Amino acid sequence: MMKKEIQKLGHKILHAAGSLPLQIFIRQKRGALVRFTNNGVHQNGFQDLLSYTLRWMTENGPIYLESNDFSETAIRRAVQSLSKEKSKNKLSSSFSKKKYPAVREAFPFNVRRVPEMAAQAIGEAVSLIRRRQASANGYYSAYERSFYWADTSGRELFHPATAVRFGLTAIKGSGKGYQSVYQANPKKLKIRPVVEEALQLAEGAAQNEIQLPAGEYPCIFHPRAFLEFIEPLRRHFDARFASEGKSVFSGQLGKKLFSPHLTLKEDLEHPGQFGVPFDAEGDPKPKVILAERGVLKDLLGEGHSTRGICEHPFDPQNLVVERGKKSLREMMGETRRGIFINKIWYHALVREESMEVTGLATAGSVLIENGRCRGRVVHLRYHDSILSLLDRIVGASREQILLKDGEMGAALFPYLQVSRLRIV
Amino acid sequence: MQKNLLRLQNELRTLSAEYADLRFVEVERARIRTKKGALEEQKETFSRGVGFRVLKHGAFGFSATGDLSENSLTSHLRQAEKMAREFSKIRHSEIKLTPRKPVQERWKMPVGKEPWGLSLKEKIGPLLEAEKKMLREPHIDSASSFLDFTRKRIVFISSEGSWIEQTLYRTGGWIYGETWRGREKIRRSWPGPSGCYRAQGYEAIEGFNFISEADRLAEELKELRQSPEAPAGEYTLILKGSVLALQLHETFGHASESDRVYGYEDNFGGRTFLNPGLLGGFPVASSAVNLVSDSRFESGLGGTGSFQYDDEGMPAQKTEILKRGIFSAYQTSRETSFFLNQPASNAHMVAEDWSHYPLIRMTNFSLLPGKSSLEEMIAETEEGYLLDNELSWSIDEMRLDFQIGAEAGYRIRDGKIEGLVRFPVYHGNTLDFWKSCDRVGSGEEWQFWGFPDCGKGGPYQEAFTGHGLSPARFQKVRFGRE
Repeated sequence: MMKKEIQKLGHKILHAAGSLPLQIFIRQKRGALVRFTNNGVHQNGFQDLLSYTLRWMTENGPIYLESNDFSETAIRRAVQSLSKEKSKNKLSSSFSKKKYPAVREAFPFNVRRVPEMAAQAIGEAVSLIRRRQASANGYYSAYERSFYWADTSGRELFHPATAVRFGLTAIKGSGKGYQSVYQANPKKLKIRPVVEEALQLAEGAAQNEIQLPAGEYPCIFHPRAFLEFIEPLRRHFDARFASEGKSVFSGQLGKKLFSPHLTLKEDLEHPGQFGVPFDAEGDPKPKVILAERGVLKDLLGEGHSTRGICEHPFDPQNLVVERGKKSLREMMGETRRGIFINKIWYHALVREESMEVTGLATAGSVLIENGRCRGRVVHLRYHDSILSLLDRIVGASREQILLKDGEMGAALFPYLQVSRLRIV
Repeated sequence: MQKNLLRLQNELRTLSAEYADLRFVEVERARIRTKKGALEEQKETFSRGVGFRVLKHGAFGFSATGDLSENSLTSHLRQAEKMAREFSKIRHSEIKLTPRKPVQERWKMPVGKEPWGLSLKEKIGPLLEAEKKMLREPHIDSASSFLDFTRKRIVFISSEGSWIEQTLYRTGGWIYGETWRGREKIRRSWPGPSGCYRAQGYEAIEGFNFISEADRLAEELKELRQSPEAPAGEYTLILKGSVLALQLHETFGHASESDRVYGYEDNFGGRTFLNPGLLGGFPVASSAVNLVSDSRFESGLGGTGSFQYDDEGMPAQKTEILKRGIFSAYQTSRETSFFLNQPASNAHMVAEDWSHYPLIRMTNFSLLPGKSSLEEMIAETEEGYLLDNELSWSIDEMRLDFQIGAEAGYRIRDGKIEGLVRFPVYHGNTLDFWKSCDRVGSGEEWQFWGFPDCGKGGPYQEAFTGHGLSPARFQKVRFGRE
């Protein structure tokens, strides 16, 4: 749907709202996700979704109303039901000109052709897999999205986006390997390298089955695995949560909590990043340095609200970890005995105050000895603390991988090397 | 819309395809959060649309839209057909479906109190009272509650001639209290940390007795501030309530979903240790363990996964999954029942809403009652723990190796409950664990526990699942970190 059409819908709602202090968030998503195995496509779905969320601040907290019914009757009914509650907000007569990050995330393509695009990509992948006498399962997705935000004071924001993703678990003998890729520009998606890497990991994992005794081991994390590993920590970057004394970062600003190899930012404008330049309350997303060379510098506030969209009110959406100097190959080459963690599974928070987590490493997670892959580690369950692990980072790779992270953002992470991870 | 549906019914019938169906779904959801005796946040969601599924040349295609204009609906039916056609060119095996006789029916789930007929004040009244009660205790730092109501209307139409209309309700809620012990947050919740959901109206909330449970929560939180942590070791374990529902759900519940056998979920949900060769004769649990999947509404009051027909138009039914510990059946769809050489699907296809492709899902996956009782189990336990609410859980891809943490545990010594412990964590292997089950409570203690957020699929979707159970006892379970 074009910007004009969505604006028209937004204006329709604003008109019904009149002078009531309402915020509107319209989200559109069109495209398909297609899942496949060696035998072909199974679950798939072309979705054409368009919905609006109205936000109304009352003395008793916010009320959200989400609907995909854009009829006059439904909109009028929605506005009326909200306005029964006394509003807390006053309508501002003017608003200061806010500067929004400039991000190009839309690379238009013909969304009706997604079935053909998916069939071609999957056909290519399965053909490669079969030639190598392996099996696979995976997914392909291509979407165009639009995000429109407006309020009755006259502010209006629009951001179009496109995204294509491909992921594959290759299975060769007893080995499994997983690889995935995300691009904002569908033309940049290359299937072959993803399949080759997944196969390489599977073949490496198939060499041997290794039982490792419980203990602590140096590890190299795939960027995707590391992003998932720190997932339970994300909401603790909320400044309000911290001011209430509930965050693990409460009272810790300015303290050295992590390894000096870690610089972590919330930075939409970092080269290679993608995301929506405004938050759920229409404020521009500023750059925030969360941790700099291991020191906790700042937390998230205005410009990072996900209220009404995500479960937690403030969540980082554009994380960037600064790259290091060595290549992944060099890091692996220098590993005397350690584990490459490619993908994690059923990662769970066990104790919040210490950020103790447990989970399993899988699909290409292998033992590295003297720089070479020795095979997959059987039953690779870890049990450790996220905070301790962030203090044990000893290196980051030169390469950074772009990862899709939530509906409105992305993460840019290198491979991360830690001195030890506790395996049970 | 009725006119559109009639027209679409005709189009489905005349489509050049092996099979086609559509689901027109309207979902209303109201979620309310309260905190410290006051309203904190409200969210109402309304969504409606149509999802089309077409089986053509041995492959499925799916397309969904919220735009209910005639042009849009026809265009999306064609898009589903196009998807199927494109994917048929790259398939290596053909999808076939077990047969289904067409049916026409209208059914509305009966509820005692229609949630949409109550004011906000009426809905949250008991919760605010319970919170205020807890907050009177000086050691309680915070109290919070949550209510969640869903009403879903589905019209299912198939090219085989079925036309089924259903209205379903799901209602859930919870309350919790928090206390801080230094930097450690201790929480106790009722009926469970993510609530308990039932296929009922507001009477489900009334049934949870939040006000009377508030006293118990406050007392336990006081005790927990001084309680020791659960020790490591091997103990007898008694599970009840939400944590037993989770144990069932994560182990045999997911393991018996037949799409895992074919690798459909390898990338996301994982596989299963239950391979077809084990069907019919292999003991995977003790003889005290009888598991059924029963989606019939009349099977028990409030089974969260209940319906009259699944999202393939198959009638709700009961299937024995484990019979006296022997693996007896999978949860199937029309597609997987064909692969398994069975005459028909046992009705496990459910989609979150109109925009999602239906997947094989647990419905009411339950542990049938035995002959024991909680009182008896405790009295017969020399040294062990009783757990009720989960805090964390993790399980491997095959559904074998798991670790579950609970909010708190009741320590049992010489047949008596001695006190509470903090952060009990236990782990095990699914087969060993369920083979160690030596007692299951009787029908008198049998209740439904339900979850609202079982995640599966891509795009990700959630399903309500119900678990009927009585307390159960397990021997020689390992506690502490692995």
